[in-house]
Amino acid sequence: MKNKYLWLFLLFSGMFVVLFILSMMLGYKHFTFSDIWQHYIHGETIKDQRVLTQLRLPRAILGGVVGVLMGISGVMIQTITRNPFASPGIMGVNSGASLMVVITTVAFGMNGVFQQTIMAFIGTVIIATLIILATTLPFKPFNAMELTLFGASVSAFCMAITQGLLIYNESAIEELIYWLNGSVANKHITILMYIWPFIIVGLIISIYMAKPLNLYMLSDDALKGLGAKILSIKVFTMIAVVLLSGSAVALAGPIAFIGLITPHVAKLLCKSHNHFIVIPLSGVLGGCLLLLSDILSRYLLMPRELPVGITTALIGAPIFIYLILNRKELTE
Amino acid sequence: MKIIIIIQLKKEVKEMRKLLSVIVVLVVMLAACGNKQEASSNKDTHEVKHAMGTTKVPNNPKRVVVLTNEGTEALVSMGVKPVGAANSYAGDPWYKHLEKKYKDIEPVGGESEINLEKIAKLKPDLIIGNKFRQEAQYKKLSEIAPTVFSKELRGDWKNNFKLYAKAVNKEDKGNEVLKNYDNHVKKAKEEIGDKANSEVSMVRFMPGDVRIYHKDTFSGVILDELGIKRPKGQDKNDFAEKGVTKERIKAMDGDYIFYFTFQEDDKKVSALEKEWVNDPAFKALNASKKGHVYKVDDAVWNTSGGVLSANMMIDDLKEKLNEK
Amino acid sequence: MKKFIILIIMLMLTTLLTLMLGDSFIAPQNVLSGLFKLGDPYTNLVINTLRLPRVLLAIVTGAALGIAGCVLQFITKNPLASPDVIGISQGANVGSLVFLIVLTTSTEALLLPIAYQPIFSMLGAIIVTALLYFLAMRKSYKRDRLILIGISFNILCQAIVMFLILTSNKRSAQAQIWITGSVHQAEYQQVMIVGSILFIIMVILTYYARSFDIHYLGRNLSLALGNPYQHISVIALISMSILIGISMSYVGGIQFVGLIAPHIALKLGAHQFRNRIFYSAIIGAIILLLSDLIGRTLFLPKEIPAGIFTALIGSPFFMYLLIKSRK
Repeated sequence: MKNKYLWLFLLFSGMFVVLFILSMMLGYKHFTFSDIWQHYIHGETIKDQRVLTQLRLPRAILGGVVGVLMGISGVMIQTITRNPFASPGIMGVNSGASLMVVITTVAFGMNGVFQQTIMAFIGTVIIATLIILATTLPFKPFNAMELTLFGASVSAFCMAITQGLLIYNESAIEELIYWLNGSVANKHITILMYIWPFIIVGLIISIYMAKPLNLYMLSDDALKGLGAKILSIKVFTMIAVVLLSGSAVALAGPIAFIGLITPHVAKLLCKSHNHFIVIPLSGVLGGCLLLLSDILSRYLLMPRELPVGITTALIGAPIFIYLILNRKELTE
Repeated sequence: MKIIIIIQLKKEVKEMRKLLSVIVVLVVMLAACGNKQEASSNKDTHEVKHAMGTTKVPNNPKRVVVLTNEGTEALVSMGVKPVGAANSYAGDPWYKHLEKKYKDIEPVGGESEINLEKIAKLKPDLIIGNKFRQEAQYKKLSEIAPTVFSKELRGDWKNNFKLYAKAVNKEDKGNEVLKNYDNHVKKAKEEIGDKANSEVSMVRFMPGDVRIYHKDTFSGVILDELGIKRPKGQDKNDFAEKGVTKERIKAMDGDYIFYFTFQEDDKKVSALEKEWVNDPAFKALNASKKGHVYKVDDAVWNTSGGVLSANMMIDDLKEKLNEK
Repeated sequence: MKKFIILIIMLMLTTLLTLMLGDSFIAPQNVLSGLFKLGDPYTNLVINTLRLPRVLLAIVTGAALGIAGCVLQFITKNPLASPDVIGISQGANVGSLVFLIVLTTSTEALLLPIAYQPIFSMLGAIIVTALLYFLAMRKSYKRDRLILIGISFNILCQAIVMFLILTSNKRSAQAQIWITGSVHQAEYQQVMIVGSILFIIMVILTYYARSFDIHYLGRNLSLALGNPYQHISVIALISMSILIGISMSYVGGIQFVGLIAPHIALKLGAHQFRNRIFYSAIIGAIILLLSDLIGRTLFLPKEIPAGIFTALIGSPFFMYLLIKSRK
């Protein structure tokens, strides 16, 4: 039985690698596979290798990493809120990050990609902390609905202030429209150097949470009966979600849908709710989906590029509708 | 006991419903009152046909409010100083290159968010606006003063200029301005000589976005008038390519590259602009190697969009093309 | 009853206040003479053309949104639910932006006169409502499902909205203002339309008020008492979407009114459905009036759309509610 899951995971990991390489090859400038092979394996110089190393490679890395982060955090947030329609965005990561970026751009004129990233991360952390505190004080476990609604309201609040600032300062809209739609292009990969600790911590917590989350699928009452520490499960899971998806948003801006649909696709594929399997599988699927979207972004409007956040929405929406129509647990 | 309570409740509901009906009726009455408007008929008027219909406007408007940047330029160029105008997109509240000329004009809000009460307070006798921006406010503006709208805001400022001239009844002065402009263009063409065969590339930096501009833009139209060529990728009749990635730096090449950066303070050089202009791929472009990369003023070359800026842009362009 | 009259008086005072304040201050007696067109032309103009339509629209849409929020909270039994989070408002936004950005020529001029925008807004709201019905309520109404699916639609629609704004070259500012929500484009005709629809729906809801009260007791009790559980749910959904759809058509994406108003109503002691919807209506109107007033006066010469303030007041209020309800 375990073998089946291993095969699934390996299959999609393989697809991940393929898409990664394709992401390096395809685009406005075409590279052939032998170009890449020669350059990286044999160390030969090839034409336009700057594009390959300085533009394509970071982009592929970002795409892969961000996709994985969103896939993993998606599973966790859906389990913890018992809401198959949840996505990491409800923890305010998207709106908090956007708000911070807009504030610093409008009020302080910060306008570098690097600064945007740091500010986005700080914004995420602030808002998420607020949500976590509000839903866990006074140290009673919150119920899933409360978190969902609260997160949605906080997001609305952030968006309203964001919009207010954008209206107050018309030029800011044009400056920020690309950040607000999410993109893995034109970003600085060096940012990973600053964010990786948060990613690692988040991943470690996720691994620890796999077993408790499996238990969590039971109702709150049953959990109490088992003596499980509900509150700590919830809090640690939320922290992991914030660290992972917050990093993702800081790196690439708000990207919709990946955290929403990959958990379902993963569960559909392996026909199981076991988090030890679903979490990694969803992560890999997330990476695949984002890499695929990024490749498509380059081709849909050649030579223009769409921000990847839009392509994921374009691909994600039909998948989402398909899921709704066909997944029993979503329609009952 | 219960029955008494129920009867009381019923009474309350009836009362509330009565109250609500009264409120609704009041609202309707007020609305009906508000709908009628006295028609003003003036003999000292002439008719102007515009994007929203035909309107009678005064023959000698003294207090004009204009609601687009390019419209303000048009009026000022004809010697008509409006009492109120829409804010510039940069500067506080006017573009730096037009500040002096715009002294004493009252700002009435951005093109997309005009403040109707401010306009009314200025007691204008003519309002000039644009359908693209302010269609929803046309009715209210007409009640403040006779209102004329141009249809669109495209790269070619001349489209709207003639309408504005007719609206303020200064068609002769308007034609004069146009003629002067055409002469300016002709002279500039001569001075540029065969440099006109150079391909000029237009790039804009905005901290969240990098764009390559095509022909349906303010600068694109003027370059075309001067007979200057565009690089193949830019020789299209649309607006621009947005969201350009560094892979496309090669597409920015030409004999000359002019770039502008959209920002409020021209002392702050955008980090993004610096990053791209110093990128090795950018430095490897033909234009860079020849030293033909110039930064120009975003307001003059792009955002303000009117005849005054057009004249300034031509001189600026001429100077840079003729640099040795 | 006394409380209700106090509320009405507050509404009238607020109305007077909003007519007095703005870019120029108009004294109360001039406001009155302006209303009946007896003052000087300038005052008449400002009052009747510029301020009164906004004020009236704020009142009727504020009331409509307040009622919609009340209905939702009743049928979901969830005091934290707000019509804005279940996607109907965002659906209306998508409709509006499709009109402003998709239905345009190559130079971004509108294909249809701007008067047609409300139709698309309404369409957006209706489509989302229909989807909500099919996905959450078809077989049987389940409270939680409605909210959960609604939230995803919200996110989906917000993504579409951002996408549309991105694709526009010249209309991003206009679109941005629209989705924030503002009464600055108010016209008398709009007031009449919203007002009449409001009136009709109020009558319908008052008629079914008792059924709503019973619906609150839950599915089993409702059915035991012979109350049409499913029907009430459907009536609620339809009336909510009509109220929200028509309001959003003229006012853009104003949020939170539907959340705050019913709560204040509850605090004032309006427990029964019948009372609560009336209270919510008045309170909603006052909230929107004040938001518009603040936006028009506090940041002169810039005008900030009312939607910002409804959210600024609304969110902290909501957070406070949440924390309080957990103690």
